[in-house]
Amino acid sequence: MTFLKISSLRLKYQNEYILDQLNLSVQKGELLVLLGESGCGKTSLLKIVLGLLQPEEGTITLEGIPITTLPPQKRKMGYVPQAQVLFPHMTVKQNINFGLEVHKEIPNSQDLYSKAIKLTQLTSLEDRYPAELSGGQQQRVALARAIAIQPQILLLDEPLSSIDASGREELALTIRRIQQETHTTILYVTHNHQEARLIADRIAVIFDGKVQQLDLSRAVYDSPANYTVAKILGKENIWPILGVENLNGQPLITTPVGNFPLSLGNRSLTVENVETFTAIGLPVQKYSLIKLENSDKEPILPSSHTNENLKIMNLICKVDALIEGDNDSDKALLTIYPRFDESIKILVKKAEPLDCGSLCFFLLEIPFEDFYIF
Amino acid sequence: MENNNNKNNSKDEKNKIKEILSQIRLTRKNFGWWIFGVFVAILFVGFVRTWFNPEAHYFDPILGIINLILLPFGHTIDSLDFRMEDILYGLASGAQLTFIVSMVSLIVGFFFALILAVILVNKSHLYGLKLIAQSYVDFFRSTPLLVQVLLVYYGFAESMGDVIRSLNIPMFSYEVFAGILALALNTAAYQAEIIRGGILAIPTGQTEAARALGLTSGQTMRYVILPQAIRIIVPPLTNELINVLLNSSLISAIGVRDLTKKSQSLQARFSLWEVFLISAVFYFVIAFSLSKITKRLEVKLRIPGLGVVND
Repeated sequence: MTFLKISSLRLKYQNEYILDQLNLSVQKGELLVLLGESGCGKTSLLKIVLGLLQPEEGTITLEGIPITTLPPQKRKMGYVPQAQVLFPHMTVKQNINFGLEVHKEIPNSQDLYSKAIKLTQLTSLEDRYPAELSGGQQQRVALARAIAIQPQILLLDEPLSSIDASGREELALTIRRIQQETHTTILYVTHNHQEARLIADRIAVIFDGKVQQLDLSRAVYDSPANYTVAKILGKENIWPILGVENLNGQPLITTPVGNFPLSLGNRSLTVENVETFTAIGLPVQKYSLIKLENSDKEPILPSSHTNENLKIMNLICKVDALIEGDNDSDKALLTIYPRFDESIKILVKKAEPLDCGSLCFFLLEIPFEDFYIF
Repeated sequence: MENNNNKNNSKDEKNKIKEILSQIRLTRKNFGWWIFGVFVAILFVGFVRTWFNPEAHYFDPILGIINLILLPFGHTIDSLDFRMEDILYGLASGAQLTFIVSMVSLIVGFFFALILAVILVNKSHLYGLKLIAQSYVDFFRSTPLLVQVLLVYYGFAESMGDVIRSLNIPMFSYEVFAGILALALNTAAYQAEIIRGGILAIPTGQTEAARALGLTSGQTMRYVILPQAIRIIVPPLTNELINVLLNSSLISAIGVRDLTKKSQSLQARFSLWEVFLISAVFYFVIAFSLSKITKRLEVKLRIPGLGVVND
């Protein structure tokens, strides 16, 4: 059953629709991550759900009841904003109790307080002021304050962004634990795909004012809907399809790494349906450099030619970084220059000794089946 | 068990008293506060005396102390300079009026400024209220105070003058009323901007969090923003406090017998320029002690752990 339903939402910001016909439905008790690049309107979406912003068009219903024009104080939602969220003139205890004091109708506020403080492990810090806490502790207090009032839905706006790397995972797990123990519905906004993968039940990828893909965390990672979704999810070795070209009567897909025939991967492409695909990709660890020469000689212009079932790329490349792996799986991050004014980063298996920063040629043989297309 | 608790409590109380005692013990650090405290105590004694004896002047004890200091040298104030006693008494009563006028106008102005500031930071136009508030602030910040004082004095003379005069309150003539009103109107404009700045300094995340916790926008202002804004605006308000105190000398132009007016008339009487020097000392003592008190207030209101603390 749909708990929170957002339909055909539009929000204008400076003559531009940052949210455009956005639809989203959230199930009861799930942790839904809204993933998107900075500035794509994720935070605005949260504020609309909370009631701090009014959308131009669209409706929001909570358990079937429309709440679009309700002021925030009547929605009973928990909200943890991005930064500087605690009231600095109150102690931790006063901060958490603040919401409970406002909601006089809630019974057993003392129990709720101790429950919240236990869930977030703040028992020893009750009498401190926010400025005397670390970033992670502050964020935990904000979390405790938001869950103490037993909200119908908890909205978290990049709660991990202001915390150092070591505290991040811990807080993510705390959020996860709270969600599992209290069965609260959580809307979680982030731009970090690793964070999303760590914590989410389902992921909604937002781009261009719309939800591009909404699916279980695993499903989104395994089959991204299009190039932008794959990019936001942090996939490597993917290139957008620029178009279809006719070369000597044979249709070819043009991409930044060269032209490909339509019989790519295990998909059967035709000239008609190629428009529905947006990108080609290459699995990371499979390839090794076949031929490597030092760049003392005259540089040969990059070329790529297509065999029957093999793509051979002869390219100038620069070694950007070497990534040490466990036995024989050392990888190298290369920048290749397929054309004079373009550069592409590619991750390949390191077969021969390489120096970081060196310039070299390499020849890459990739069977067409290995490319995947989406 | 209970007994034990009681014991603990009494121990705590003892410790508290000890702490307070250690704080007020005369050391090099609080030497200035001791001098100030004694000074205020003497003034207080003087005021108490005036309740019982209407003939007495509140400045009597201080003059007595000055005489006491001069005694070893075989002098009194009177024997040093026969005009001195008149000058000091005259300036002292002028200083009293200056102090009262500036404090009253500051406090009246503060509450007016609070309303103005809340209107000014509001997102909506409030049916033209915002425009009115903004024009008010612009007008009073862009015209000279002396013109405002004269404007209020002559502008209200017909409507308010006779009413105030008929009330017949001691020390509260129509001139004083006009002076206080003009100063309050002027400082309200400045304080409104100060308070507005303090409100705007509170991060929006807190407003949002408060709204999400179930507060209306009015409650957010009352319980979250203003308590913090007040702490932020204490230093700039100290500035404004001293400004009002010193600018109050301008109301001598409409005949309020404040410190400046008194020193002018005394100078005319004795043709002695040093009168102004003494009146400057009076101004200095009031302004300096006020700034020290507000500094103390600032430290007291400080939120633990927040901001740079290097004093």
